[in-house]
Amino acid sequence: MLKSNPYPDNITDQELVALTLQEKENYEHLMQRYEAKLLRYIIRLARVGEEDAKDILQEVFIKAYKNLNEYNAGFSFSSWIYRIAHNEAVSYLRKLSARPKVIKTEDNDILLNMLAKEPDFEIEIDKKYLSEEIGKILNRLDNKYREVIILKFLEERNYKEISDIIKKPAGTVATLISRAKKRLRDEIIRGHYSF
Amino acid sequence: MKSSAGIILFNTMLSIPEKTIKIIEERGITPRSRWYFLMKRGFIGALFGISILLGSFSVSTIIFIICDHDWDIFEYLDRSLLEDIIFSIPYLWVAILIFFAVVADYNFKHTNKGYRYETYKIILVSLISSFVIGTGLFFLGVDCEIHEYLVRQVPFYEGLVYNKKDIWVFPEKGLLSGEIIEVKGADIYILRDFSGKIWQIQDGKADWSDTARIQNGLKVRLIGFKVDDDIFRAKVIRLWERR
Repeated sequence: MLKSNPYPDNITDQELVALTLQEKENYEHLMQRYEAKLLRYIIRLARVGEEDAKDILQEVFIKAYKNLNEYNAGFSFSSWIYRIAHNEAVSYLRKLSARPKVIKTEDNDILLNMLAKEPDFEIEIDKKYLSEEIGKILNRLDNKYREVIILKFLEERNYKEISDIIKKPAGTVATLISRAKKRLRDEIIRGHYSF
Repeated sequence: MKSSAGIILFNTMLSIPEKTIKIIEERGITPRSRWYFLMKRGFIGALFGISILLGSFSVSTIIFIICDHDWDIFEYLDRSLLEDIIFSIPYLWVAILIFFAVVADYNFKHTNKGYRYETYKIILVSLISSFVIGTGLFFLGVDCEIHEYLVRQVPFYEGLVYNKKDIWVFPEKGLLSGEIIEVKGADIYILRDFSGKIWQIQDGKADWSDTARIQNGLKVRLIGFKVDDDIFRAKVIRLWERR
């Protein structure tokens, strides 16, 4: 048991999975590694407040524990648990589609800065105004576009990781990201956020 | 003893990982066994294999039907070659082949890494596999068995797929088929066509495309011309079923 060593950073996720299968208390360390990242991801994707996101995250951890033997060391554990979180968040979003959406404004600047670095996203923008609006624009996109934008620009995942999380081929992921950026740019231009 | 308010306060102070461990313990949750996932993967893999195999049966039957078609009689039926090709395509089997290719794609997508591949690639590979295996089955004669079995057992099958009997009962156009019921001499025999009508067949100089001997019970296809209401002169004689 690893209780005596609260943050065994030198132990890989795969090793922690194997240790968890031997003794469930080790699962706590695995959860601690992903708690903050997944909570933030769920808030972004499901557009919920922190308390709801915590409930979803708890379900994610329980589901991951039940299916721990499904995890294959040939995959990144991070992508595997992100996939479970993704599915839970999407399912929550579907169930409560009529519920008011929580927009996390702290992400706006991150998203704007990430998009500004993209070579095919060159538009003159009123950054201050757009910084307040980009979250709303993102929320108007179809979920299939919104989720890839979140994964690529806010979670900073690469194509292969996104492919493993949303279970779509890398080529489809590239197409979705490209279309999503185009939609975002069109929305920005249509909304007169540019000069 | 802790008060209930104390327990609630204690629970809210726990972190999510701590709470999760607590729930796992309280509900007695355990990871599903490795065997469960192995069986699941095996089942999905087997379904994928079965889809390819069923697609292969479709291909072998398509090849059989196309090979069994008489490509030299379209003129007797007042058709162009193009019309004959369109008529002879076994659409039902083509639809079954496409269906199993889509089922194979669905199953493959549910394997461990299946989602990494584009749909068109999976469908293409599944069709190619079905063509390769199906061609092998055709040469093994499995196709013929399936087709003949369905013709015998499924009443509407022949009409749906390829009704050879309808094509070969056009004596006015020079096509006749049926079963020999009596051999009257070297060149004359009696035939009952598939509609039940009795014909006297004269085959003086007929081109006999097979080595089988004319005898009672033999099913044949004849190309020739109608001499009288119940007399037909054969120019070409073929066995009803190809060997």
